[in-house]
Amino acid sequence: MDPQRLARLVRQVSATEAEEISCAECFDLLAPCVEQEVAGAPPTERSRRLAQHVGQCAVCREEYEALRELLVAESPDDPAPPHRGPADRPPPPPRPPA
Amino acid sequence: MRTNAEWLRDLRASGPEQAAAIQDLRAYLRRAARYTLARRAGGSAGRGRADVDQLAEDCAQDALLAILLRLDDFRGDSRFTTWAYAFAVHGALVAARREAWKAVPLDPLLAAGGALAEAGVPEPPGLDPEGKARRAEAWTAIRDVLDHELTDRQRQALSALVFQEVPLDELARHWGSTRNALYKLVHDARKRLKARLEARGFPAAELLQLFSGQG
Repeated sequence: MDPQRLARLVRQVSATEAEEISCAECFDLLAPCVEQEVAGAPPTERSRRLAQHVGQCAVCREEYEALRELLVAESPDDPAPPHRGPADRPPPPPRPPA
Repeated sequence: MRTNAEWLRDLRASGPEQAAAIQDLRAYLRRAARYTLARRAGGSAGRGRADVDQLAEDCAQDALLAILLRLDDFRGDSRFTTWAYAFAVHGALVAARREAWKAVPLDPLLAAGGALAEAGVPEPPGLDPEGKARRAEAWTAIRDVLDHELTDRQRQALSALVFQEVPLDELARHWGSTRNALYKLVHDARKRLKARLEARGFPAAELLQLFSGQG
């Protein structure tokens, strides 16, 4: 067996909690938690629960990371795109994978 | 820029106010979908720019419809645009994963993963004899619990998700299930694994140390 995959299983089993939020609950927490994280706010219980879930769920983790990168890439004073102007600006270049 | 209240007011309105809000929102969603698809190069591999733009447009439209249906769910604990972005990101990634996996037959993967814990695990270098023995005992316990103390469905799901890296939403779709139901299935399997291994004298902290160098 590939040792990295076994290590992944062991990490996930070790981090398993009796109660974990669902993917739907994780989605509902994404916007407020990612905003708070990007703003440098201290972690909260709900951000801990989200972090625990994305540690277990690769698809939710991908969505969490993409949203976080999108918010980081946006300028803080980025105006709403005009509805009569260009559709929108080109997206910022994607960051290389970790 | 609209405030959250203005977004909700305008999207719930009718006539030109609503039309303008929808057009502005669609532009945000298109941007988020494009960014997400560009970020996930694998999902767009082989697609030309025009195809990616069309996919982003489709994802943005789907996200818009979902948002309009769920306006009452917005709790105001984030910017409305961030909440909306989450829909576009979600939709773009679901589409990208489906694109990446549509040509991969899952049944052979699931069948191949039935024997979850065959063979052995390479030993890390520098392990002393006591460490080797303890690791071998832990590996035997893991194999035994995986093979004999999970349901067939749990074993297949763990194999697919953890070892074969099949995306959870793709496996759920293949099984006619939902993301939430499959996550719960796997959660139950992980809880059982953890409890059974601890009962056999292998607490989580030790397993982390033995197999991932952590703890």
